[in-house]
Amino acid sequence: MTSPKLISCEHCLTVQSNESPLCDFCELPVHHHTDNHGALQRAWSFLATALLLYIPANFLPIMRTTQLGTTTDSTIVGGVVLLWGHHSYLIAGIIFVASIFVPFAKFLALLSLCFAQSRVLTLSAQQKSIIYRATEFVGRWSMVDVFVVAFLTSLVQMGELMTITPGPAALAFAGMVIFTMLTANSLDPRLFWNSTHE
Amino acid sequence: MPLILCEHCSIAVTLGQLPDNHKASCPRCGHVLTRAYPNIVDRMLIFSISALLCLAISTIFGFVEMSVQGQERQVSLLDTSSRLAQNNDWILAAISLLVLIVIPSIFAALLAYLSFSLKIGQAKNSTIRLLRAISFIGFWNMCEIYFLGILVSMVKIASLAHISFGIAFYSYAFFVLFLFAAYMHFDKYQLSQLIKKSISTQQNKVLPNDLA
Repeated sequence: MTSPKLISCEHCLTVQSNESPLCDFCELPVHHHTDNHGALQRAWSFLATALLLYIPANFLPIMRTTQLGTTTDSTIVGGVVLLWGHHSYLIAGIIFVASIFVPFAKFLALLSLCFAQSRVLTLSAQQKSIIYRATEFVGRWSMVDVFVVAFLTSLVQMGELMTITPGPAALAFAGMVIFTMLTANSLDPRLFWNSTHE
Repeated sequence: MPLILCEHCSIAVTLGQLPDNHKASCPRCGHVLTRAYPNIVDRMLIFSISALLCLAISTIFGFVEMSVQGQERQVSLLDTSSRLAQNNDWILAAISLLVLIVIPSIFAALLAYLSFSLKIGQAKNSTIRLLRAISFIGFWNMCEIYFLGILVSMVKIASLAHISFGIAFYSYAFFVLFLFAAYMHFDKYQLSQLIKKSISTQQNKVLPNDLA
C-alpha cells in the first residue's frame, strides 16, 4: 500500500515523487522526514531539560501570599491540599489534574516514546501514534497553574492588606511545560511508521 | 482522484467526494486527514473578524475589579502584564503579554487575512506559506488556557475579596470562543486546494494532477 517514493509538500500538500528538492507546484523546499537520529537527539535533550526543571517546579514555592504581615509560601502540591481542605473540590481537581497528573503522565508518555525510538523499548507504530496524539492534545493544559499565579500577582497588590508574588517554581514550571511541548514537537510521528518497514 | 498523504504516517490515501460536515480518517493510524465544512472561507472570515473585534473591545474596558475591606482595585487586560513588569517579574510579564494578547491577535489576524484573500480570489504564491505559519502559531496559542487560569484564580480568592467582572472580561470570553471557532475551520487540506485553484485560475497555471 505504501509507496516510499511519494512525498507531500509541507506548504501546499501537493503529492509528488521525491526526486526534486523543490515542490512541483509552489516551488518551496520539500522535507523528507527520514532523519530519525537528529529528531531523537533533539527530543532527548528537550526532555532532559524538562525533567531537570520538574524538580524545582515541585519542591520550591510557586506562590507567596503576604496577608497582614504574615507570609505563606505554597508549593503546587501544598496548594491542592489547601484547596481541598477549603472544600473547593472542583478547583482542587482542576489543579491536581493540570499540574500534577498531566505532567507526570506526559513524562511517562514522552519517555516511552523516546525509549521506543531509541530501540530500548518495543512499541508498535499504532501504540506510538496513540500515545503521541494524547500528549500533543493534553500537554499544554498544564500551563494553567502558571497563569493562575501570573494573574493573581497582577490583581492582588494591596500592600499590607494582601499581596501575592510569584515563587521561583512558577518559572521552572512554565519552562518545564514549554520544554515538554518542544519534545513532542521534535518527535516526528512519520518516523514511527518508517521504522516498521526497515 | 485527489491524493493526500497522512500527516502522521505518510500513507497515500485517495479521497473520494467528501460530503459536508464529514471527516476522512487515515485507514492506518486513524489521524484525521481532512474535514469538509460548508462555506469554509466565509465562516473562517466571520469568526476571525469577530474575534479581532472582541479583542479590541477587551483592551479598552475594565477587566476585573476586586475590593477588600473598602480598598478597591481594577485591572485592565494590559495591566495583567504591566503590573508584573512593575514588580520586576519580567519573564512572567512577557509570558502574560504574549499569551493573552500578542500571539492570539497575530493568530486571528493571519486567519482573517488568509480567508479574506481567498474570499476575494486573490491568493498569491506567498499565501501558501500562511498554512504552515498558522499551524505553528496555533500550536503555541494558549489564550484559552490563560482564560481558564483566570477563572480558577477568581474562585481561589472569592472567599477573601469581592470580585466583579467588567465588559472586557466578557468580550475576552467571546474572543476565545470565536478564535476557537475560526481555527476549527482551518483545515489545511481544504484550504490548500482552494489556494491552488485560486492561483491556477489567476496565472493560467497547469493544475496539479491531484486537484479535483
